[in-house]
Amino acid sequence: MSIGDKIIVEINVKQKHIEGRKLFQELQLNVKQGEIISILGPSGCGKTTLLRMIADLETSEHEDVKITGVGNDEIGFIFQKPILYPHLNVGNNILLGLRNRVKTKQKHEIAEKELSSVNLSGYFNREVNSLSGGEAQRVILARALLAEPKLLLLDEPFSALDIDARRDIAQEVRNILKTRLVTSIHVTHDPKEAEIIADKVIYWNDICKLDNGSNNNK
Amino acid sequence: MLKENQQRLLVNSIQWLTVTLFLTLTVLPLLYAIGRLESVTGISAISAFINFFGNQQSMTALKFTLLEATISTIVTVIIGLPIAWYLGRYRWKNIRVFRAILSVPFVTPSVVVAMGFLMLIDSSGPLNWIGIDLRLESGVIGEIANFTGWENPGHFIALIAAHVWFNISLIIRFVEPTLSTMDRTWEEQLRFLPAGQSNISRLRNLWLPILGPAILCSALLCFIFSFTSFALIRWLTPNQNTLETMMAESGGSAGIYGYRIDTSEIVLSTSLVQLVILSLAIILTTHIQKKHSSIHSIVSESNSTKTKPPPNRTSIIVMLLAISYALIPMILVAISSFRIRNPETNEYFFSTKAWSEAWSGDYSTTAIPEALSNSIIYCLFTLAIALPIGWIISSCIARLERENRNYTARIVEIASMIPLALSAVMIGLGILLGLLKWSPELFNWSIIPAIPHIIITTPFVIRILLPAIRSIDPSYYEQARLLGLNPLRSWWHGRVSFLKAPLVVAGALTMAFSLGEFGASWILVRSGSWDTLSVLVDQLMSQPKFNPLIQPMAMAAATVLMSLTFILFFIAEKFRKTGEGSGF
Repeated sequence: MSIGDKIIVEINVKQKHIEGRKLFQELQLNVKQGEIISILGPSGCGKTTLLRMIADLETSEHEDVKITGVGNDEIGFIFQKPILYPHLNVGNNILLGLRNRVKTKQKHEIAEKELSSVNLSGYFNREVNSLSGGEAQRVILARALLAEPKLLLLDEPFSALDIDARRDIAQEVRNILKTRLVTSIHVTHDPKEAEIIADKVIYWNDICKLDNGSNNNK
Repeated sequence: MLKENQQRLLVNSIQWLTVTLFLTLTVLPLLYAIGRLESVTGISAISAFINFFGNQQSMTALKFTLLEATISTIVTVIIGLPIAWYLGRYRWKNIRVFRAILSVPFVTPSVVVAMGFLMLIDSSGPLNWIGIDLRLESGVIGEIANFTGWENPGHFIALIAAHVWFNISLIIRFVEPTLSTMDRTWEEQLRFLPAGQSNISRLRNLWLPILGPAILCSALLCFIFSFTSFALIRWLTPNQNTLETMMAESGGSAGIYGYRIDTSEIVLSTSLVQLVILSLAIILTTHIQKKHSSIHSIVSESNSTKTKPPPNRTSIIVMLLAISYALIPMILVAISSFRIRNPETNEYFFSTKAWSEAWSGDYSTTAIPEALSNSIIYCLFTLAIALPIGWIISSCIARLERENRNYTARIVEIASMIPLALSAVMIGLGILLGLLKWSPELFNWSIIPAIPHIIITTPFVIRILLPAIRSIDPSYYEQARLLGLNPLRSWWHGRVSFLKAPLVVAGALTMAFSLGEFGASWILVRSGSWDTLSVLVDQLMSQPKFNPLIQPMAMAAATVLMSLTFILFFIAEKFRKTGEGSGF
């Protein structure tokens, strides 16, 4: 599937400070429908903060954050640390992403369908503690996708995995996101991962200004 | 030198022997007491149980007990949850001090709590000063009584407030550690899913599953402690009987052939009904606590590194109110020991006279120093017995779990909680009727009042030590053995060194609970001559108040008892691990 021309999300942030340190002067980001953008930068430069600002998890009177084109309840977020709720099994964790009320039998089918889309068929009744890091991330992706977000934010989602697994799963995630045409912003410090997953890579330079530089169209 | 398997056999035998001895010590006096009461009344335990429900006096006491325990539990949860929430969710500079202050009520001797609330509702107390007269029930409270036809609403409100004060730390102790260790990302993640976009859906899908067992478990314990409350009922609602007070009052004349058979029947039937209700509550609590422990351990593993937000205005107001509520009754006890009424002018003045009189013991059967030394002897004796017993039983349960003998481990664990289902008064009556009335020569054994203390405090020792023993990695011991250390040194380095802090906590709390124990001591001491500080407070307060020094003297004795308990509690707090969700 191809990327549309229509810009569906516009992000404009002026001045972001954390504990007195200025992270950036101004940041502008436009995301097209179905596009996957990867923001690449070293640890601690403010990538996570940027995603949290977009998701309205960070608020401050000193900053001017404008997000147009997407409402708060239309955003999906995959955190760096896999968050699966231990009191629920895999299937019921996925069903947290279900938007509409459906019958119990149908719920099971929906969760199974999502699980098979991330190559985890038959995992419905598994305890979340029994999953490997990669499996947990795939369950989280399935859950986020079930909610059909207009914009999906991925905060270094594979950082807990080893390099090989990270790159394999990055390719797998890209395929899924492209198949479903999910508009996404992904942040990482791994250039290879960014290159695998993204349509466009944006570099966060050392002086913490966002450099809308290179394109990495695939 | 013993071989490895011989050592194991020896350790196992010691453990089983200790379990058997403890259960015998707990159950045998009770069985003897039941036997004695059956023989005195001529009716079987089952008939007595059935007769209970046909006796109007017993049913009134049962209804009042259930009512006060249920309302106390509901109000405690309603007040305790916001405090736990604000304490756990915000970044407090002195959180350890806050936790300690809010936990103090639970270890405060019940008789001291009763004194604190009596002073709070006293005609010269702060509540009366702001126009709320709970004691004489005039003004607003009187109007409520007239309008609703509710008898003694003031006393009932005071009782509920005292139970809430006493039990609130249970809610905080269970709920706050889970809240404060939970990764905030869990909630943030749910906000991005359809199942967590509203407060109600987050409550249903996150907070209730995570906090539900902790809330239920602490609520059940609140119910149990309010159900078996004795000193507070005795002093705050003297016109009403609970099952506990009814048994205690009938206990003195029960178990004697040909004399007041009715009281023997009351004690027999009431103790059986109470035993059934409390046993069910304890079994349920143990089951839910296991669920809470497993959720808490998963939640603590997620332990958030993210900084909590600084407290906002609402949280500061809630904490200030909570801390004031925790401190006021205790401060009032101390102040009232110096505040003496002038009988001629009815005005109050400050003096140390009550302290010197209480110290010399001119107005009581014992002086403070004598009662203090009795209390300390009993609490040291209790410590010397309850701590090793609790440790050995905890080790036995943990070993059975390691050997995958979970069913047996569970039986031993539930059996070790039996004293909680018996209540202090029942244990006291068990010893009085079961042992002393069969063998009166035991009256000469001055250490008798320490026996119920041992029975009552051992379950607390087990509750504190068991999670710590479970968490010790056996490879430390194995490594020490492989390094060639002898069994004793291996045991010391591989096991005991990990238990130092929990042992100090368990020891300090054992001493604190023993010092403040009232129900069983009241039953036994009034039948003998071994006054403790808590009994001295009760004795002084029971005297007519013509002498204006009597009440301040009782408060002086209560202040000594309270101070000793606080020292022990703060020692325990210093060693307690942050984020511990044991509830004690």
